[in-house]
Amino acid sequence: MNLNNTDYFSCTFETGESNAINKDFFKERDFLGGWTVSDRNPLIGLKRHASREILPQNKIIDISIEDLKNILEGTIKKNATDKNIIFLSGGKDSSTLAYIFKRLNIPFKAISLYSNVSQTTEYNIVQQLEKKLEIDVNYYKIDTIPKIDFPYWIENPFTAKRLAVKELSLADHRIFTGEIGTGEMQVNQSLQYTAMLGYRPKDLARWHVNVCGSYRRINSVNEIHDDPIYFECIEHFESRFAEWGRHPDILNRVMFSRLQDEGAYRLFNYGLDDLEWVHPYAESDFISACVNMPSEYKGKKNLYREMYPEMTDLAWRYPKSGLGIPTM
Amino acid sequence: MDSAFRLCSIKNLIVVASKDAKQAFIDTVYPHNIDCVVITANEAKHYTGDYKVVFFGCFVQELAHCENIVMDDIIYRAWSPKPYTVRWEPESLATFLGCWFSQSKLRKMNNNHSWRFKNGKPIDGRFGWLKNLMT
Repeated sequence: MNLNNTDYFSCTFETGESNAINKDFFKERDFLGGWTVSDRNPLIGLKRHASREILPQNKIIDISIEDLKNILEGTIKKNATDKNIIFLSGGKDSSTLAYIFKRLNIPFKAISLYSNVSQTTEYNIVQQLEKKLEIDVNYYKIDTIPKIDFPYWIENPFTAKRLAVKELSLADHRIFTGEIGTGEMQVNQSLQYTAMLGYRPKDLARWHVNVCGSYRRINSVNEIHDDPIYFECIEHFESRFAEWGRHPDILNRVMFSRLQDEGAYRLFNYGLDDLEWVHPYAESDFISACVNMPSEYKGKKNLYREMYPEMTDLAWRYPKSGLGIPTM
Repeated sequence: MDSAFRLCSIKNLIVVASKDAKQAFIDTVYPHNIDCVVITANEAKHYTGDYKVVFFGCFVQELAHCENIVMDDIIYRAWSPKPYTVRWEPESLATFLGCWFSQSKLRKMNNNHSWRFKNGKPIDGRFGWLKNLMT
């Protein structure tokens, strides 16, 4: 279950009686790489309900860095117990989270997943972080992720984390994730495109679908499928851009028009299980401030460094590779 | 959109000889892979950082310190006799460039393609020699 207030990313699927499988749901899920944006449900006759909260505001929120820090640390303090876990991937989000816990003197166990099968690893980065932050990291080896027949949205990193918590007998801990960070999920390409050709929301709506559906491999702004459901997905992101049209800073529109949908996807499966998950960055007040503040702070996840300039820059020195573990 | 340029982290440069060539690239190849910035050889002289650079029809000495590839000969092979021709479509050229730009990530972090080739890819028997090559 998700413990903190992540209302901007809420998502529920109706449950009930229906014998008919909605094949279009699964088709849409394929077009977006494991998730959906419509109200389709896997069962015909039932629906999905997305958050009705509107993230973009019609003005730029000029929040101070100090206030932003207070919101984030307030969420952590409010939800932390004497038994906490942080999954340390070596990336900027989880590294900052660990740094904040350390700074606030909140006890936590750091867990890092790694694999001997995959050569793609952040193991060495986490080892360096362990020294820099002076923490003990529990390295959990996982060579395959068990194949789970996800009824709704597919999310393998969640499965790996859940498995580690169960096998390490830490299910009684409160688990903090770095999910969605400061909202800058894959913003560089869209910023570059806007820098090159100006603000083109229709092109970027196509890119959102293409890049998600290809698991980040295809960075095309063209129509690459000829299917009504594919076009529906594009229209959805066009409507997101229209919603963001109220926000005065064009670059915030460029960076955050996919955030509510992808954020909902990232958090969704955590909400279904019996573990206690906390996603401090996805807390409503924090994420709303991040995406509505002047864009000049954004782009390279530098907001963390604005908040904590004394923190190590290790996570900024390496590209993020992901776990690279096959699903069996 | 200078402000967008300031925010983004430019890593991948496409450098072409002229303004016309830049427009041609933007019209044909760029829409298939937007993960790069396209500039002319003249504009390239103002870029002083460490980038991955692909040159088409030119070379800029000021960027020689960057990891780079000169595409001229590779493109020219589109006119070599079969079977030594390398056919390029905008989509395939964009795909090649996208993969080439990812090289530094592979060097730093390695990859898990060998596992994939060993355990299934390519599924089409015609490309079995690639499987042997990659495992």
